[in-house]
Amino acid sequence: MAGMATAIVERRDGVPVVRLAGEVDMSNAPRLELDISDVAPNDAPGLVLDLSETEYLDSAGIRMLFELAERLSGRRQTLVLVVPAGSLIRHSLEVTEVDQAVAMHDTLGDAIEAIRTG
Amino acid sequence: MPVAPDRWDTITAEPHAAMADNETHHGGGVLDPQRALGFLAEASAVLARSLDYERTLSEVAQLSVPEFADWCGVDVVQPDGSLRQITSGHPDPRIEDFLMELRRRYRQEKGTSEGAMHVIATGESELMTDVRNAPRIEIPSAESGLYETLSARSYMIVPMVARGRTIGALTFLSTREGRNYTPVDLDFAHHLARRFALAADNSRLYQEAEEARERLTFLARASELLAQTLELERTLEQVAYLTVPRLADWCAIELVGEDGSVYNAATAHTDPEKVKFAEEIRKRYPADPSSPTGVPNVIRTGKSEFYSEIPDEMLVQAIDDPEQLRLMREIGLSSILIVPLTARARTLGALTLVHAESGRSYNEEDLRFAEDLARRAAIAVDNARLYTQEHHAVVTLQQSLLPRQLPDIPGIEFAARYLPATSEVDVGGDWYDAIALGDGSVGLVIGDVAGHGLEAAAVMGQFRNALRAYALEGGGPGAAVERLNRLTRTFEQNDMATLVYGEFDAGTSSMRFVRAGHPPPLVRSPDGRVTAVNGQGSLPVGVSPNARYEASLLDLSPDTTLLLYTDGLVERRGEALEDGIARLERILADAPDSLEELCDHVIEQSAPDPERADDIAVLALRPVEVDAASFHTSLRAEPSELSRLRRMLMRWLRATQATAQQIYDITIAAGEASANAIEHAYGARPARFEVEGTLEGDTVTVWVRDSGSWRAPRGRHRGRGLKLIDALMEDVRIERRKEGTEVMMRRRIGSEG
Repeated sequence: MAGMATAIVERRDGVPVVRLAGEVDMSNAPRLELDISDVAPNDAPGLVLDLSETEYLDSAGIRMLFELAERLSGRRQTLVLVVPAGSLIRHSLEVTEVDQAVAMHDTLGDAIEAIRTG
Repeated sequence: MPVAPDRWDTITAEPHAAMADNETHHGGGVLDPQRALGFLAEASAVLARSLDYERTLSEVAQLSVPEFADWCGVDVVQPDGSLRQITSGHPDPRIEDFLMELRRRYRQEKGTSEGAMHVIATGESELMTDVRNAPRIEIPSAESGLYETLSARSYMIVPMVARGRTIGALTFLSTREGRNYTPVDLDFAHHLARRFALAADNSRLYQEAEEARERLTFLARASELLAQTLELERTLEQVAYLTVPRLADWCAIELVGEDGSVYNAATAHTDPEKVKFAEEIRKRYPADPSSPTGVPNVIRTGKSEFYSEIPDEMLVQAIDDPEQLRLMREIGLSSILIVPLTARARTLGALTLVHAESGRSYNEEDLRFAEDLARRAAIAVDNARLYTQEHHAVVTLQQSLLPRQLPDIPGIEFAARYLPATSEVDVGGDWYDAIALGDGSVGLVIGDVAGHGLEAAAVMGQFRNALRAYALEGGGPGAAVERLNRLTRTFEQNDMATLVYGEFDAGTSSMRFVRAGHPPPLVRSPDGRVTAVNGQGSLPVGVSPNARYEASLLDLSPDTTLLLYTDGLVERRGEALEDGIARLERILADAPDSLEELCDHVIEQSAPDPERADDIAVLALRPVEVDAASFHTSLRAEPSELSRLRRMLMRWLRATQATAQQIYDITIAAGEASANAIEHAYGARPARFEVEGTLEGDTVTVWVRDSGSWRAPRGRHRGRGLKLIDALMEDVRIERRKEGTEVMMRRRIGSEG
């Protein structure tokens, strides 16, 4: 199903923000990774990936997060995640140590702030 | 025997002038005026009766014998410029043959300097008063006996002029003692020739008109055939058979396939054995695509080839293989027309018309006719191909407009099918839809837009989206369909649709529905009884802006099956719709329980013919009580199946006491094991994997089984799946067996987590 996940791109205070809604698994993760990595222009300090509306994210999605972070850091850009407290996906991000590699914030405001202050 | 021109009286001037200048043996003609008039009247009467050109010419030749001549020859100019000869015939066949041979030699020797060719070329007549001892060409001594027997005495050649055109010449030969033609006879011959010419020309015109009419009738019939059916090859076969034997002994149609190769689409002959014979030859000696002549050349150049005659030398030259030559000789080709099938400036193939055993030969007129026929056939071929493309486009559009996934709603099972019509033009506007409404109920739609083709599919998209939007606005089925009906006034055409729209509420296990000109939903109760539920029937949507759509209530207790369908499932030619619905009721009663299998069953039983004249859409729904104690499913080993599995697992887990986080974590764990099964376990062949679950006390156990071997994770960032499973579940065991891999995972659920 093509509409399993949607990535909505916007700019907040000069920071590119991708709101990823829906479900991510092996059927759509590779495509999403390419789409999202294209979003940050070279002059942007980084990228906020907002997972507030992400309903499902398995290991394929988690791998996508690691690879995105690597790709961006190669361009001296930072990846910051928004994962609200109480989000169902938070537990699996923690047990796979995503939080060790990528900064996770509860709110979008915090995430944007984190990038701007670098 | 030398030619002795000085012994001849030759008149090549106007008959009256000739009469004045010429000395003759008789002062008058060979006929006395009274008899001449009577003869003329008789001849006119005979000719007036005949509208058959060939017969007219034959009558012309016959009529003058023996009254006015002992032998009469008619030479008629053919459309291709050649001469056609018809004679009265000599009582002695040897003499007749000899005469024909003399004429042939005469023509060869004299060309248009004298004789019939000269008369036709100049319109001037010839009178030979006495040729008894001096033939105009040399007679070899071996033939002098025959010439003696013929005893030619005198002859006249006069032009046949009709409507200002010289259509041929008449030769009157006298072999009778004392009958030598005079200028008076020449004058009479002229008179006669004019009458004959007019009669012959009339019958020619009539025949042409008749042929034109026949051809028009033929073309009309061919066009009709070509237009009515889009099953290309069958149509071409019919057209090919229409041409035999009237227009051809053989007819073949070759087409250029998608890969550019040329294939035979139709071959016709009145004798099926001969068709087989031709196919045999074709198989053994396939046409060389680079051949400078024949079908490959016509297809390459888009130009017709026309052989009015096929002399044996031509075959010998064209065919190297002695066996093939023998076979072609056996067919006995006498004349061939090969014309291109051209549409929109592209050559799509070639039409070949062959005269063989009939010995007929084609002319320019036939060529024009064949080209006309080929043009029409080409348009049909082109259309059929376009339709095929359109069919593909319609089906693609249609399927892109149908929901890819039915909503996952706890306590409701869904299954749906859509089968496009097989005939290109009939694919159309059937649709189904299931919409999860905000209040936890679900909207169900089955609809059928009037019309077919791309347009109907596009209109269907409008109806579908509008109804979705109105359904989500709330207000119930009546309000939604009324709004949809009002909206149709803004549609460009008078677009119309029949539909059933219902909103099922799992809380009350009932459905409120509107039926707008659509066949009634069928309900199968758990005991197998099937009833058609008509409810409050209303007008189709788009008929009247003032139509009212009132909803009816239908109880759907758990394990009751609701079947919504379009008329393609129940309609059969020559059968009342009610009978079709009654048949479907019986089929549904016997259908298997599994909703997916049930859908397949009703389609297979109701519409077993793979050729469908109409679209078929089916939507089945069943409220179910989820069994918290166990879960089982078998899925295709494809990534797209993962989201289905998640929905089913979540529905099951919601029926247990698991918290939202526990449901998510178990679903992730089972999803990881399944993703591994999909990713690692299989080769190219289609495969399946199984997921089973149990709830014992507060312990949920899930098994994922496949028939492959669990491979070690490769690459960076891999292997996280197993890590996730380990972290999210309390007890995980992986068993690798020869027949496959089983992952067992277990955890407790409940408030403690």
